Amino acid sequence: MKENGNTDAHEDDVRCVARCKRGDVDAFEILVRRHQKMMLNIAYRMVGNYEEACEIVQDAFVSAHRNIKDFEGRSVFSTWLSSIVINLSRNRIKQMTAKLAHESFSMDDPVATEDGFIRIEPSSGDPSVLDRLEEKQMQEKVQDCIRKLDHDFRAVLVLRDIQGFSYDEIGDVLKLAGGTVKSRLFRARESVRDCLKKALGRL
Amino acid sequence: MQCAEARKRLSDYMDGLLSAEDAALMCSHIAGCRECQGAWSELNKTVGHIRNLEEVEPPAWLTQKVMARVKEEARAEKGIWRKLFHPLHIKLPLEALAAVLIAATALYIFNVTGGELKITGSQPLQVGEQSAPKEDNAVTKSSGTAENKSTRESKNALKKEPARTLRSQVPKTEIASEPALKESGKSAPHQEALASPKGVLPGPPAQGPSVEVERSKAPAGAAAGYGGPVARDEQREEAPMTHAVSPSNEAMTQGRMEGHSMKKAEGAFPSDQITGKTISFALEVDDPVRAVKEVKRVLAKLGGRITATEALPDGTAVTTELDSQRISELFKKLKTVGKIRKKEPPAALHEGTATIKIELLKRP
Repeated sequence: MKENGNTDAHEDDVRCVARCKRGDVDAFEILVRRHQKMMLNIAYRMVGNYEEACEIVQDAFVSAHRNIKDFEGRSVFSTWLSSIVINLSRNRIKQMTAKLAHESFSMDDPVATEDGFIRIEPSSGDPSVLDRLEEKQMQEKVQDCIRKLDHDFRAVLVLRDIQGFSYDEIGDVLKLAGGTVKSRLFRARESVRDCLKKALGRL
Repeated sequence: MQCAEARKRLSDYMDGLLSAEDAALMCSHIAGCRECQGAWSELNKTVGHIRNLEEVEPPAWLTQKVMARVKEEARAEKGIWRKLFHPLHIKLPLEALAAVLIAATALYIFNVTGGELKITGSQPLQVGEQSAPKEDNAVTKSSGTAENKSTRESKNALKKEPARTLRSQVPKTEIASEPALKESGKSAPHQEALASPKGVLPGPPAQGPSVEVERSKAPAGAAAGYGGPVARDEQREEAPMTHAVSPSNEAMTQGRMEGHSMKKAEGAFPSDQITGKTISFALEVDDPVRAVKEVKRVLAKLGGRITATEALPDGTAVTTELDSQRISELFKKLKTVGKIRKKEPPAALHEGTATIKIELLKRP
């Protein structure tokens, strides 16, 4: 998405936000439909749990609507919304980590939903299925390694390498200077690399 | 470019953040360094795996759920607004009227009790530094016993007035008694009135009254003196003050009479002054020095904190802060130290800490 920034989409967001500020609830629905997938994926990669991610996204949108008066229409709506999602995710991670201390709890992988992932049955002998399985397992391992990152590093990695945000956009979302974004990204990538090497024996 | 630097900048290189020159340097270094090549390859694969993570799709119900919550909140907000203010032409006037009534009531109450409130506040209240429960202040400080008697009756007569506030209106009209106005008055203006009382003072309770008058005079102007009993509302006193001196004297007397003093009527303590929160005892002792030690011991036992010790021409004065509830205990113990010039312990003035001045005077 974000490297190029779709100007038309952005302009449209600006118009919708203006209408929302005047109390137009339908305009807000347009914003929800337009941005929900991106927000869900950010949340999902942050917390590692699909259901939790859905909750976070709902809360984020409701919060955005409640505070739409404070949002300056010229700023990028998705950046603002991403901030909300990252903050909510951060809080959820803290809660989940605290919970982990008391229970044996393993974060779920994506749950099969009508529109979500479909779990591949391991027993099938079809080579493409096996490839798929391998890929799936790989993804789980990658997600596990990402999950091991501290949330500050995790956020930078998710926004950059998964969502394709520019360094400036990341700086806006996380309120960080460019240099900090770079160094965090560097360390996050190295950590995941080391983690994967350990898990797979090789990359 | 060295390996260490190359490794550090691989991430930036990958994201196209290096200058053309640095990028070229990096490229050639990697080409020539096996380890850095390995690191570069690993970085690429790692990021590649991350970027390959599949996106998840939002469930179909997500938008609906969000909008349901959003609409609900919007409705709730409107609901409150509606309940409070619609229909506008009925509710607004009603609410405005209610607000006005509340304000008016508050103002009325304030005006009527205003003085009392002020009294407890900042002024160098002499006479009456009344602490909140004025009822407790035994005015009595009043003039001598005789006077007390005479005033007592009138006081008693007036005593039961329910609302102190009423008294303020009452004063001038009601009381007839003369009594000594020894009021030290509450402030400068009262000074004059004070002066006159002197003349008005009935002869008999000579000792008492004159002593009191002196006392009341001694501390600059109004201060000191009487205190309490005449728990007067500033208002009450002020009102009188507006009249000529004599009438105001009377008024003052009246005011005094009405005072909550009732209670204290009996306790005429010529030597006691209850000034707001300060109580004074005077003790006649054979040996003031020894007495001071004993008094300090007593106070320590009762949890009193000694704040000052003052040398007097004929003895010593010890000032202490003590929990008001323990004043009667103190009184009892002081009786064993010397002869108290007083008949009864003052009733508890109020809650909290009281300042007590104990004068230990050598028996003449």
